[in-house]
Amino acid sequence: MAVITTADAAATVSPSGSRRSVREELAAWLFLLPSIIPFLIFTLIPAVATFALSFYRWDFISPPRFVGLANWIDLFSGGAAGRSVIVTLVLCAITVPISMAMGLALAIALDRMPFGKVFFRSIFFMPIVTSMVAISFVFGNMFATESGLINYVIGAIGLPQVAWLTYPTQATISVSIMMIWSMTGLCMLIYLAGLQQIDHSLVEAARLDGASRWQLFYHVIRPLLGRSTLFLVITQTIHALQTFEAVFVLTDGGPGDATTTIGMYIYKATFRRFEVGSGATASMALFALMLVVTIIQLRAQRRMQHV
Amino acid sequence: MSRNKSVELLRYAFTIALAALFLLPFIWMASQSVKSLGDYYRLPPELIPDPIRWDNYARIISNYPIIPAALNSLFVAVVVTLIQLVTASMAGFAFATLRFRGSRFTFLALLTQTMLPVAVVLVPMFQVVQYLGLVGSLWGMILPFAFTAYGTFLLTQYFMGIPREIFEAARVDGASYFRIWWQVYLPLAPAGLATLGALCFVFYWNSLLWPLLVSGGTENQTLPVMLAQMIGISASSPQLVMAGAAFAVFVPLCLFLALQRFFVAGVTSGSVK
Repeated sequence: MAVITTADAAATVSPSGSRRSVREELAAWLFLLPSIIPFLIFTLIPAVATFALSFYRWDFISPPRFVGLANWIDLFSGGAAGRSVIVTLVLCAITVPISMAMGLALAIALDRMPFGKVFFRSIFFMPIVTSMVAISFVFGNMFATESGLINYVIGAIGLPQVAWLTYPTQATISVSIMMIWSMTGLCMLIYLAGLQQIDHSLVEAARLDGASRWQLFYHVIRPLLGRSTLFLVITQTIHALQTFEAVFVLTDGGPGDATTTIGMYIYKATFRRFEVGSGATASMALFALMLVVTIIQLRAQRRMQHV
Repeated sequence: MSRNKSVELLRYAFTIALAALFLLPFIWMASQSVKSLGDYYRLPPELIPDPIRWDNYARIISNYPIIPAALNSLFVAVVVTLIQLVTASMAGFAFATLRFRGSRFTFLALLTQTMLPVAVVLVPMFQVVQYLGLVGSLWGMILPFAFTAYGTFLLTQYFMGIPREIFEAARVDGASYFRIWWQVYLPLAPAGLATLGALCFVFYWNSLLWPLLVSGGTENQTLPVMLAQMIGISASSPQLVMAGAAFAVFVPLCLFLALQRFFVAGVTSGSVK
């Protein structure tokens, strides 16, 4: 699902006018109440409570025990929670650039395609609406070492088979492949929308000046896609930071904790090991990462407006 | 062959090759879902098995509560969607048209929800739902998502695209704010509503983490929760799990193919000026 972050907001809301009526103010708050109440009850207050929980040790049964920064020290000294942050960042570093590069290549191939454009666009969009639980099971079957389709194909062309889900590196690659499969469609769509906004007289002018295809792409089209690229870096990173379903079925975070993302760690710590405080600390780490991404977005957008 | 023709050919070759790769999981899923257990593990694998076991679908329906689970998913996804359409369009209307103190601050504060997904607020949110007595109830999967920052942002944008004169004219005619929202603004933004509705439905049809925690027993399982559990326990009949997976993928896929332009509008909003 697309992500809209606070950065887009500032310019959006109508400025408070000089003439205000009490009736209008009252009406506005009545209109907002059905949003504000659930936001407070189910999001904001729980978020503050999660922050508080990160300073406690709690197993749901005995009363919570204040432990100060112990959970945080665990996180930063390379405990399981800290490792899940690394795993998540590695998955982001693999999947975001690759899915964006593939999406861009596809968008360029599809843009101005004389026929079949909508058909192909539908195919690449399909993973976006597909249940990750369901398709993870399919990927798990395809990645199977003995009977899997992928190893069969690999064997058929004479290459050594791969134990896709047995070892840490291979499992990370398997999860990445599935994530890239599910993330590429959005990149293609965004770049396609970006390409369609490009003023073609610019491209024609460069072509008449004798620019090669590569020069055309690198010096004319690429800079014009800056806004699409920024949007994708942000939304895809925020999406990948939250990875849970993809590893829940495919690897259960394993082998060991090689593919235990932050989301998976929160789930395992909280509901399998009943270490609520440790899960809450990982939750705050996830929030902090999303906050950093949002701040980067705010700054980049401000810079883009000045250009 | 001219240079242009060969570029065109390259373009199609690349696209078709990637499209085949991207379709492979769907094709493989369909194929595996109509195989006997023997064919499921057979090497070399067959794309179209012989015999085709259509009865896998009948068996998964009779042996597992997949229809009740699908109905639960449908109920949750439809009700969350309807609620979000109401709350987001009301908030979007207020932000786009009404002048009030703190509008910008409230807007920004509400949008922080995008940084606070379920995984961040898990345990306290669970406690709130527990306190309300909604664990083990479908409403426990619905009410926490009554507010949507994404939808509020999307519809605020849509409503701001409606000329202010329309709002002013309705005011002069003596229409209440409520009537302007319901009878003027909502009918003017069908594309915005459809976009939010389509994305919202698919998102909650597919969501796993929260329903997994609050379903509390087989009766209230949604389809993804049931599938996740089948994957864990039904190692002896994986072809049936495959049929269940195909079933879960089929519904949103149909919806997507029918409402494609709204999905496209939904995911690209915010990326273009």
